[in-house]
Amino acid sequence: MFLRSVDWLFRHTLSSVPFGIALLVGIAGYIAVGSGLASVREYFELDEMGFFNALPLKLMMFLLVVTLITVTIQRIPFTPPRYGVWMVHTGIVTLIAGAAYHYNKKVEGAILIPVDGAATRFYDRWDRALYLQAGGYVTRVPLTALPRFHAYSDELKNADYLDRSELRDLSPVLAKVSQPGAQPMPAPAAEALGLKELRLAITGYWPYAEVRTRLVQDASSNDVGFIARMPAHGDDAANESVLFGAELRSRQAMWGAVEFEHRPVADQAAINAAIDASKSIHRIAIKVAGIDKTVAVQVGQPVDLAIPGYAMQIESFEPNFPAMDGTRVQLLTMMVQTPTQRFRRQVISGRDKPTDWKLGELGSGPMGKRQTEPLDPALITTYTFSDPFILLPRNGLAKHTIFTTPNESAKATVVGVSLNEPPSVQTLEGATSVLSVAHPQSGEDVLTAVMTGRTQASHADDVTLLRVDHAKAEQIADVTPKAMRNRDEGQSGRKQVVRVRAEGRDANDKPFKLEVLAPFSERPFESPWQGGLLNIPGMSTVAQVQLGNDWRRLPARIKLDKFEAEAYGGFEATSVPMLRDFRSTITITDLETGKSQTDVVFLNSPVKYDPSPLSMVFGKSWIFFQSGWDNEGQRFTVLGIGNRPGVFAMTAGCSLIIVGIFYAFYIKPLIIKRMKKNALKKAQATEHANGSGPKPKRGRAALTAR
Amino acid sequence: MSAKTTDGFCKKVVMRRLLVSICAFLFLVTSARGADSTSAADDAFAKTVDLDAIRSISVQHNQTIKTFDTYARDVLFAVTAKSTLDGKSAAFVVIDMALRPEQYGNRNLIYIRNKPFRADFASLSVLKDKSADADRIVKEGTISLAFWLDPHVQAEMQKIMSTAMVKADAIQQINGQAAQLAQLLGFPSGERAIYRLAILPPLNSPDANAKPWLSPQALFDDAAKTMAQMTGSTPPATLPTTIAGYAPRIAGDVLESLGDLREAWLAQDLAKTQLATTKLAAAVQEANPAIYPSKTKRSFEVLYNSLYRLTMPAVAFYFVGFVLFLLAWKTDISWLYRSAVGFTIGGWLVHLSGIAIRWWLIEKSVGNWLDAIPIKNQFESVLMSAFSGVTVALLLERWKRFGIFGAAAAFIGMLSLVAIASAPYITGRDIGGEIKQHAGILMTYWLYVHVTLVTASYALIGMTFVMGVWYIVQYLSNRDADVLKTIDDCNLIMLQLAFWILGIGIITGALWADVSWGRPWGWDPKETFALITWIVYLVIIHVRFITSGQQRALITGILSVVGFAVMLFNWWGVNFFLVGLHSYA
Repeated sequence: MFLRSVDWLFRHTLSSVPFGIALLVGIAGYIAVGSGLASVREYFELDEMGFFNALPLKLMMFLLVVTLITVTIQRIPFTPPRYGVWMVHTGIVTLIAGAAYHYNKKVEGAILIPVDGAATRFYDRWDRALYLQAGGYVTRVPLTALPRFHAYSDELKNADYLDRSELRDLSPVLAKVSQPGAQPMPAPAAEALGLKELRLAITGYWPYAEVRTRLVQDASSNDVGFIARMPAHGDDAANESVLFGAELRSRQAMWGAVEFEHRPVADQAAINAAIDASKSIHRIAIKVAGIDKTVAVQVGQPVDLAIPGYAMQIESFEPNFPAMDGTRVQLLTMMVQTPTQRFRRQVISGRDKPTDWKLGELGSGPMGKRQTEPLDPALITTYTFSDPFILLPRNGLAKHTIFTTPNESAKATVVGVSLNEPPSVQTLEGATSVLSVAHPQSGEDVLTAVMTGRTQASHADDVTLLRVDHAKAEQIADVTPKAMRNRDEGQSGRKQVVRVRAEGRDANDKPFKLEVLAPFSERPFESPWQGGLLNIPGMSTVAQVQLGNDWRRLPARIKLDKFEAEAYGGFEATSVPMLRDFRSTITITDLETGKSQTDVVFLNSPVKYDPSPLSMVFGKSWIFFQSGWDNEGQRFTVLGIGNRPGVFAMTAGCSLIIVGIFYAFYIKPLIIKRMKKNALKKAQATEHANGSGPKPKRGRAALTAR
Repeated sequence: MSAKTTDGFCKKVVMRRLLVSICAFLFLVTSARGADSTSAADDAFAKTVDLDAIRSISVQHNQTIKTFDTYARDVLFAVTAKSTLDGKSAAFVVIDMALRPEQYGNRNLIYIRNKPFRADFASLSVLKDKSADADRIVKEGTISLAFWLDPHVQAEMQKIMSTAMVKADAIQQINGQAAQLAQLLGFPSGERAIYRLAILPPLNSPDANAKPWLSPQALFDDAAKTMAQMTGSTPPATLPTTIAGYAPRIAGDVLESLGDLREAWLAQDLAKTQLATTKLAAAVQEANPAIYPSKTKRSFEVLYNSLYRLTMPAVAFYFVGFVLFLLAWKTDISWLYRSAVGFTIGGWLVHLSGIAIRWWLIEKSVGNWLDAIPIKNQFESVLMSAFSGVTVALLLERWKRFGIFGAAAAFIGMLSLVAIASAPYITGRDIGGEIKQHAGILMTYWLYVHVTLVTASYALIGMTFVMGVWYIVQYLSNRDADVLKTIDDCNLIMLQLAFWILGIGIITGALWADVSWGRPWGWDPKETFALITWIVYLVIIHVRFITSGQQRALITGILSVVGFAVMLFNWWGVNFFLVGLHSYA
């Protein structure tokens, strides 16, 4: 009965052309949906590779292969006119088999290599992992079942989707040094961190979100925090930031070129000390005409010298000026008037010799003409920079430090320090207060304004500060609205966030449980991590978790010897040129044999690496291609990396298909024509032999007949 | 003449040149407002003024050498989505913008390309009591530079930007257009685009493309510097013999002619305008004749632009050819058939000329024949695709002489060229008609092989569509068995060719993807839908095995239409509706 069913199946279904056509339509429909309707595959949490490697397509492909084989063997005789069809069908079967193997074994990813740097691993394009960093070591746990397209969390009441073994009870292995000087040995993370037990689990996932801090009121807390509401300015939209001095990660915020910091201090005396310090960040010791004095100076302000015939005005300050010897120095520029001349002087903190600039000389630049020796050697100015309270901005042009004390619950003092403006002090009172914040100009702007005499009115905006008493900071995954999502960021997964639950028992066998949000890091080994700090009580070291693409070992060590960006001709130095090509000169060194090869990877010209002579046939070879580059210079390259399983079989299959189609369409008619002709000839010969046909023609007559 | 006298004479000449140049240039830059003139006088001036000389001067724009005519068309289209303004040529408008900017600041010239975004303007508070203006913006999609730069509008746009990425992109796009228009008008600096145009060929350059070209502003800056030195307290003993590296006579001619041009333009003096433009054209050419593009190239470029890149002339031929083929089919009159073939071949020749001239012009702009092959964007791929299809169909027509292949060729040629000529104006988007440099990844022989094959197969698929429709119409109206069989036979020939060539095209694409992206197949939408198109034809071939007679041919015809629809979606639809790696195809 079973054999009869199988026989029926083969005869009536698997050898049926309509069934084959139905399969083709099914395959076309499936891939059209997967490619054209991303929402469908996203519904099933399948990326492109997952969808096109899923069971329905595999099943249809399998049935197509069986049908093709059955039809070919049962219905298509292996005769010269049919060779084409045989070739096409064989080619399709080979192609499908090759593709199945290819997608089963395919690995692809990318690696950023700085010039003169080398890499032995790369990041997978699809697979992700949870990275754990502690004590200088980094480890990871692959997250094979992590969703990709939808958010899952307790708040959304769908966290049970994450309740699968691949995302629970994650037990990373870290390196542990048993005694000083010994080699680090792999050990369970709990052991390496000095805990009795540690289990990690993914309890939330957001495909496109930002990790933000929000302030909530908690009666048990005595801390104060602020919510700063900044209006839109320039290209920056209006936004809201939390300033919470009790937590290091939440104490600062940036708005355009302005920095904010909340700093809780013990008492008013500390605030007064900070205010005093803000006024004496720049000090100049002046020796001239027998007078020796040190004065605190302010940028943009005249210096109170009280020396007859002498005047000074501080023009600008550069906190990171590149000195001739390559070091970064603090540089103050001032206009100096002496009884005999007027010139510009630049002084560097901690260095005695100033640089003077003569004014009004033909051919001199906007600063004046640089002098090798002081224009007035009698005027000795020694500059000292001192910012012990870190009131100056680090990245911006101005900084507002908000000081609060525990005793005065409704009062805050804001010390504003700008690179090119005198310091300011504002006092805030009440739950809601408004801080007037000027948008500072860069040193260059100030210098231009001073030199041209066109001082611009400084533009100021109001920043609203909402004070939160008894505050506690809480991290949330702030989901970016769909309309505000950037396609590239979404595709690359740069905005993914996971919530990680860490639980177990500490060194004293006391149970603990905490949850942190871990954002995505594009290159966990090379770039700094954000958030994800595991503050487990009693832990011997600080641990941090991060989501990232899984890493894989490269088949060889790749060193970037040189990277060149080749632009089309005719671009101006000031413009961003359109580029013609990118070239990475790399040296590939086999990790086992140490054998090296140097090649150049450029657009459309990858470097293929075959670890062994027959690598290509067995799909063991690798390809390195130009995938990305440094837009701002020629400091690094990004190489795309992929293995090549089944490519040989797929190429062979494609070749068979093309040759077969050509044969079937254009050779087969000729063969059939010839066969018909031969058959006709044969029939005629037979008829002639039987004496029933016409006489065969000879010579010219035969040619004419032909 | 003694050396000293010669030196003195030279000094005088240089001084006079410098003074005249600077005065002319200063006058031209500082006099911000020109005389208002009536629109009737403007129109008359625009119609009669001869700008041939300035149209054909070369400009370096976006790292590409092109004529001023091409530059003007490109920038005007970028801002307004039009190639002319009020019937005035782009060259006229761009010059007029530079010389009479006050005429354009309040005109609704900026075209909002994102149509859904126009609705946001209706809710702007500045248009609260101006519903007619709001309606006009929503309907016409144009705004003025003054309106866009209004601080209230900008403030509201800032807010809109933070609501949706697609709106932020639309605002950025308008910002780009506004910046381009502001540059043309010289707002707010007074430095108008025409004086910043790179029209002076570089000196000491191996070819025209290697180094940046200079603008008249560079001449002026250098001349002003020299003047400052000469009038300073300690003038230099010797005068510089060049201005920004160029001979003073040439520099003087360039600056003077620009000054004269402005004066003549404002006075609407036709003769002086022509004189000034001719002088300018001669001076810039003389600046470095060794690398200056040839007159033939420049003239052909201007002609090519004025003839709609030779699309519409070819369309005219194809159209007549198609109509004649239909008449010949209906009447069976042989001279009609011969005329149809003649007109279609005429269209093919114009089409070929369009490709050849474009290829040649790109080669002159980018400097390499192979790199210049015109198949790197939608305009060029359709142009080439239609050409391949028409060529194959005409060869088949020559062989079979049914009239069917010829009619299909004429129809597809006409349809394709009408599509690429009109698409920019219908959609407001450039589909690649502009001659420019392309992304480095496209500069490979794989592109030439893959794109040529795929687009050729698309043209053949277009032919199968025509024959499929023709078969269905004949089937429904006539049912003459011989006619139906002939159409089916022709369709099969096309279909087999399309299927085979598309197959090779897909495989060469996979080979290219392998070297470019490190994998032969990534299920990119373009790849996937090309495969689906191929599968449709695979299905047709197998359906023919299990059907017979007119039923077989009818199904083939219907599936040919389906295949064409899938192909069209793959070629154009995927670009608009899906996200993929083939954005340029």
